[in-house]
Amino acid sequence: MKTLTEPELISQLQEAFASFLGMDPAEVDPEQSIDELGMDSLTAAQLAVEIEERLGVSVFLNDLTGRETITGLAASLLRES
Amino acid sequence: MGLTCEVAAHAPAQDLERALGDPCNPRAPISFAALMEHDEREEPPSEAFEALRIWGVHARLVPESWGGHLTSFEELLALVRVVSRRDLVLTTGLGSTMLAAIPVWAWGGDEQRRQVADLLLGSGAFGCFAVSERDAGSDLQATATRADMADGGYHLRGEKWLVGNASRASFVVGLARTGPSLSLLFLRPDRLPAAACRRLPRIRTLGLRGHDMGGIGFEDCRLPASALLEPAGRGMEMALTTLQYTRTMIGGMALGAADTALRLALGWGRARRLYGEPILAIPAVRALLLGAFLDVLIAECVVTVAARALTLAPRRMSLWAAVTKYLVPDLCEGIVRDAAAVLSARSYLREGIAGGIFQKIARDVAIASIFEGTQLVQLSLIGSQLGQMRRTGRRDAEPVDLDRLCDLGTPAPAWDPSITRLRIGDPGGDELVERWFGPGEDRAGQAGLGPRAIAALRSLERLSKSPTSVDFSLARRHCLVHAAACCLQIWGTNRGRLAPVAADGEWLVLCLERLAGGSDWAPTSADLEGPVFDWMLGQLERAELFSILPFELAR
Repeated sequence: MKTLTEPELISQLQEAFASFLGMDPAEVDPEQSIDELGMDSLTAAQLAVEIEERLGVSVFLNDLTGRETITGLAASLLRES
Repeated sequence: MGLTCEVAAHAPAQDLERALGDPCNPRAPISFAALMEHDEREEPPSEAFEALRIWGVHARLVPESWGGHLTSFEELLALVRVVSRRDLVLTTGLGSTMLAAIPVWAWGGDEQRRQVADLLLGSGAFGCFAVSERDAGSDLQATATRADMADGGYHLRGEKWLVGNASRASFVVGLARTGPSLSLLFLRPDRLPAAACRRLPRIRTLGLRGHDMGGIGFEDCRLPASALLEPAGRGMEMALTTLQYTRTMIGGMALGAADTALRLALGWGRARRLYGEPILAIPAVRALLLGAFLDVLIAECVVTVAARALTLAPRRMSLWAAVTKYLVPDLCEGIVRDAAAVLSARSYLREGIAGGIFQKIARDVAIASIFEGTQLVQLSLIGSQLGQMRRTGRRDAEPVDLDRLCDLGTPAPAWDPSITRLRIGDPGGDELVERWFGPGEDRAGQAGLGPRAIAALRSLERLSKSPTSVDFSLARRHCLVHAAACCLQIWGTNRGRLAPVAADGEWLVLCLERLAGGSDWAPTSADLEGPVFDWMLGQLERAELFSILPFELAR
């Protein structure tokens, strides 16, 4: 992964989510659970692939379901890298 | 040279067709008589597989960079139709092998690729794509088979069930949980202790009685780290991408079976006399046969576009492969039902016309809408992608050139496995539907369509836009509109080179009306129906595949 700060990573993730949800990046609440953002599993799996292609971080479908938030996801990705 | 003479991508299939001979002749290398005997004994048609190996069919599953002749999927589709018109057991065995080989070509290591190339080119070996489980099925996330890291490699344990070529496969690509995510692993059962990789008893089925349908149990099965197809954790995405190739080929399988069914029914319609004349004179019989022929043409347009798109528009294939897998088996199973209605009691006999092969085709073709994702699975994939496209309006920055996609005079490019991306959703659009049904200029008028075609187009447009609360209904309507767009585009791009009867486009009008009319469709007048019916009859008499393009069959 390119060296990104946590706020930079959060904003990149917001952008990726927004493009798959048809929202403005600013409308994607990084504190909301990913489940509540409303994305089916097929779309989420493709988003995970795209995040890896765009940002070089390995994100999987199971990271994008459940009660995890974008902020939480960014923190765990930075811990792993 | 125009299309009326030949399509370059059909050349290998023409050669194979000639080599296999007329299946109605009991002395042909692959004959209905011999296939019937194998079916009665519920055993694989071994000599037929051997005839295919000798011709070089297995090499058609190996890319040229590994010494084989797999080029474009358009070319492979024509081969699939030629083999499937004889026996779906053959293409199911080969299709399961292809399922296991595709991920190896796309994401495997060079050593795995070398092994698969040697196995296929040498002995014509079988492969097994071990994904489904008793309690998982289409829910891949429920996969229970685990591959845990241990001793510098993996310990595989679990059970795969309802998988093709389970007892005869020389190589297996299996889906297993590696950590929280899933991965694909390559293994060679013959190089493992029998207890580590145990073949389960064969599963008995309604049709495909000569197919090797079964399961594999893994217990303390130790695999090297190199067994894993990289990247780790993307097994589900690899499996779903792989299925786009094979789901498209299933369209060719269903079309091959439908061709024989219609051929037998039309031949019977011509020969059978009741009430003092051939039953072809009975309007209801003519309507069934004409409708079946139109369904062949619709299915052919849909599957041809999909096969070409696998290398010309791969991003669209998460959507288009699902549309093809939903629609083409549906149409082809309908063709077989209509053919059965014409054959009447003869359709039920295990003897008589062509050795009684029809009842076998009817049992065998029923698999087409079940395996590799049932109709409901396809509709769910389509619904999800339509929803995402609607929500986001996300467009692919590189729109598909529809004339290039549908130009049958220019062969589709060969597949380059090294650039296969994981694409399971977010297709980026459906230009075919947008071009013919989207807002904008009067495309139908520009294309020179007559009033009946335009009326059918308007009905389809209304159908696709009428509100519904059921996602699956919307997905199904998208399939119908997509099919209409494929027919329109194939005709529009190629009409300058098609034979006059195909270029004139009566068939196109009828196909659009049939798609718009659904089960209520019936021929309404002789002016269009007559030439199309005669075209179908001419293809039977000249021994050509039922097709928009001339394709000579072995006599």
